[in-house]
This record gives sequence, structure tokens and C-alpha cells, in this order.
Amino acid sequence: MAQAETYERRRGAMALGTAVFIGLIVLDTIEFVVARFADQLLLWMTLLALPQAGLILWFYMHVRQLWREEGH
Amino acid sequence: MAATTEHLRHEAESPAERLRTNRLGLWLFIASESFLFAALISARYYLLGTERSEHLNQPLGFLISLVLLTSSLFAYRAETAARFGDQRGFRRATATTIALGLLFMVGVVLEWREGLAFFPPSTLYGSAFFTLVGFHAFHVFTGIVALALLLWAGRDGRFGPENHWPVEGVIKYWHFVDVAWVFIFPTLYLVK
Repeated sequence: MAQAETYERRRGAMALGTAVFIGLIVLDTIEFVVARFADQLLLWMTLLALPQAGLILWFYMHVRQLWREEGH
Repeated sequence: MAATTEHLRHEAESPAERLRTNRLGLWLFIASESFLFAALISARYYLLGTERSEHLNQPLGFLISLVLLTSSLFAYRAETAARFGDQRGFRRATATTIALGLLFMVGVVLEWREGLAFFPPSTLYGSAFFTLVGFHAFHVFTGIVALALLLWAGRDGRFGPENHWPVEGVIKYWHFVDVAWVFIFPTLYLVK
């Protein structure tokens, strides 16, 4: 029972990691395409870079551990 | 005497408290590093505004960005595997992260070769480009060394649910290198 639960938790964590990765790739690609066509690039690039950094900080670096008590 | 006091202090600390202290220390280190990168990025805009060289290889910059983002996925998988006690998964994902880090470095070397021809470090743009990319590449290099040491230390299966801080620490550092690149890539290659 506990083993099945652990397996499910691990599968969930791996799926989350993949979903975040897809999000990062999509944002990075949009950034690259926008840079070829749009004006006001500094604004666009900032708007597209911030969510990428946020995704990595929140999901990959677990920044919330700083104010949450549990081990992981 | 000092060593004994230190030993007693560690004895008194619970593993959860030690983990919290370790994490806080690492985050403070990451914050201090962020200020360095922010200063270099600011210097680029201060010196050049949004001007950039027309000779930059944007597709190559985009490609190495994808490589670094992919390495972050495998770093995440390595950490998750260690946390759940999957030794084989940990070693495989860590080795893949190292390989992708090395591939990123190859891309940087190729970009530097082109950069040296079109905007050498003696030019204003070259100075900003080589300082920023060089500073970041040094972090990638140290990250690769740390990952290699982690892989070597974990060859006997010592990292698991009860002992994953070394893995967590190194992987967090690797992700930070990726966060820094998320800002460096548009700053150098895309903004104009």
C-alpha cells in the first residue's frame, strides 16, 4: 500500500517536472520568435523571461521550502 | 575546543533544523550570486542601451538555451529519483545533465569563436558579451564539476530519502545557473 503510494507520488513529481519543462520550452520559443518580429523588445523579453524564472524557482528549486516546515 | 563546541552544536540540532539551515545558507548564496549577474546585465544596458551586434548567431543562442533548459529537466529528475531512493535513475539523470552541460559549453565555445571575429572584447559590445557569457560559463563549468563529484560520491548508493541534501544543494545550484541564462539570453541575443 505504502509502496504504491510512493510510486504514485514519484510519478506525479516526474509528470510535474515534464509539464514545467514543456512550459519553459514554449516560453523560450515564443521569446525567440517574438524577437524576430516585434518592437518594444525589452518589455516583451522581460515579460517572457519572468515567468520562465518563476517556473524554475517555484517548481524546480522549491523556493517555497524557505517558509514551509516540511522536509521536502 | 572550537571543534568540540561545533560538534556539540551539531549534536543539538535536529536533522530537520540542519536541513533548514543548509537551505537558508544556499539561498543566501544564490541571492548574492543573483546580485552579481544583475550588476553585469545592468552594465550591458547602461553601456549599450538596447543596441546589439548584427553578427550574433541567434539560432545558436536559442539552441544552447534549449539544451540548458533540457538539462534542468534531467537535474530535476535526478533529484526526484534520489529523493525516492532510485539509485539507477539518479545516476542516469545526473550523467545526462552533465552531458547536456558539456554540450552547452561546446555551444558557448562556438559562439565565442564567431564573437572574437566580429566583436572582439576590445569593443564595447564585445566587452559586455564576453564578460557576461564568460561569467555564466564559469558557473556552468563549476556546476558540471559539482555534478560530477555528486555522481562519483553517489556511486555506492549513499543518496536516498534520508540523505538527499547534497543532491538537492547541487541541483538547486544547477537550476540557478539556468535561471541566470533565462535573463542573459534575451539580454545579449534578442533585445534590440
